[in-house]
Amino acid sequence: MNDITQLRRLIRGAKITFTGERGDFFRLVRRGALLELVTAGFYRFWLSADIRHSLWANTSIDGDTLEYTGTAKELLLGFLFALAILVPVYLVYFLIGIEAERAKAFASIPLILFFYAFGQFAIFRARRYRATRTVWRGARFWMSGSGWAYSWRACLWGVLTLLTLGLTLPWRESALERFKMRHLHYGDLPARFEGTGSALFKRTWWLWLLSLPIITLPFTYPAYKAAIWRWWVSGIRFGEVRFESDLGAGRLMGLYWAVIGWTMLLVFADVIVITIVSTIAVLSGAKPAGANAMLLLLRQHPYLVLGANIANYLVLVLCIGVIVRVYLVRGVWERVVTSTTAHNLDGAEGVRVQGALASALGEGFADSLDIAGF
Amino acid sequence: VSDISGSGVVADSGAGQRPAVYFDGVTNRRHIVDLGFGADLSLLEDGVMVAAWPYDHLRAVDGARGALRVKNISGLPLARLDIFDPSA
Repeated sequence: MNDITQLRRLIRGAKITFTGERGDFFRLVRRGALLELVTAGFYRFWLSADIRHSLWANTSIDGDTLEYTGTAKELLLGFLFALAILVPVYLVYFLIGIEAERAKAFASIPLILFFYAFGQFAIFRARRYRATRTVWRGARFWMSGSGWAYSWRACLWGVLTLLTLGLTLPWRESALERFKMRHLHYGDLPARFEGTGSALFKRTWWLWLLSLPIITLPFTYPAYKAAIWRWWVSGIRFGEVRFESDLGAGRLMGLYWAVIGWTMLLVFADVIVITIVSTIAVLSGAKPAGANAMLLLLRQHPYLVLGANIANYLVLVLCIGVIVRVYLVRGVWERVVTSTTAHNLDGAEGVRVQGALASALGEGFADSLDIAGF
Repeated sequence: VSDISGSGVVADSGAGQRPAVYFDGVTNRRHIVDLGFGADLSLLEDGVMVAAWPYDHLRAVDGARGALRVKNISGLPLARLDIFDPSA
């Protein structure tokens, strides 16, 4: 690195760049959606791993790209382990529910509480898994700490947030993030989080108020997410290294509206296709011979209509999945990453490699409870 | 511009160019190395060999566009070599 580059980096910090093309990512998730369809969803683990490989490898901090070392097999095994634990819980609960039918009105409350606590545990463990699979400059990130210690904190904060109608949400976010970050390390360099609840409250209170009419949510939610991301990135510290994001409130708006627009277009196109198919069926049924043939066909193969409905539903869901991954996974990643500057990066030089790989069990729980994120 | 010469050594003839960067898997320090293509792939820092990786133990891993990132399956798990292709 020459002197001018060094000086510029000292003054302005090191910009984080993203070099991935949207077309390449679209082809990746389109192929993934097709394979999910033919493998009854089993391909999702491979697709998740491919998505992360793509996002990580295209993200460069000070000229060196991140590397994702996780594999689809780990995700699959984590998911199967999670199922092996969660399915018996469901079964036991189902049997208890039958026995205690008189208390049925409240039967679901303990289950909801259990899954909320479990979900928080999974969130912590999933981050631990992803951290240990993230490598930069030949050193990995890793996490210490207990998932259950995180879970009970999250549950208590959840109760407080519920009692205050969401007003304490910024303090919940900062307290939980501080817990997660103080257990995160890059090699032998410990991380911490300096974002505060009051700073987040100042950034978001007006969005909270504007969201009250509900109908404004498509506008306020993207702005809220942008504020959260900016606050989160700007609070991260690794020793002397600090990050700063200049993500504007409207930067994610287009992405969310692209999802809304494409989804509406897809549903509209689907309705047209269903209408055309139904019309053809009715018209062919209007002829005496046609009606007999149609009735005979449906009587002999009653699963045809059901199968067609299921196929239509799956295709629609997978198409929406492609849209969400292109805009809300890759798009958000790109905008957040490119809004970020790393300062004092020299403080991360000479870091010693430390930390063992964590199992994908937490990721499996997070996946099975559908709270996995990136 | 860097090139792979007939002698089998990647030469760095341009100011600020990085022909190959080696991370040794012990620290995250960046080692600028030249590559020697002998019986093994030799990594030379200031003319001193810092590692020799057998060719059949090399595996490509995710790297930047226009760069080849390899690991050595018999070496430290996080040791990496980034080879940049200026023409890419």
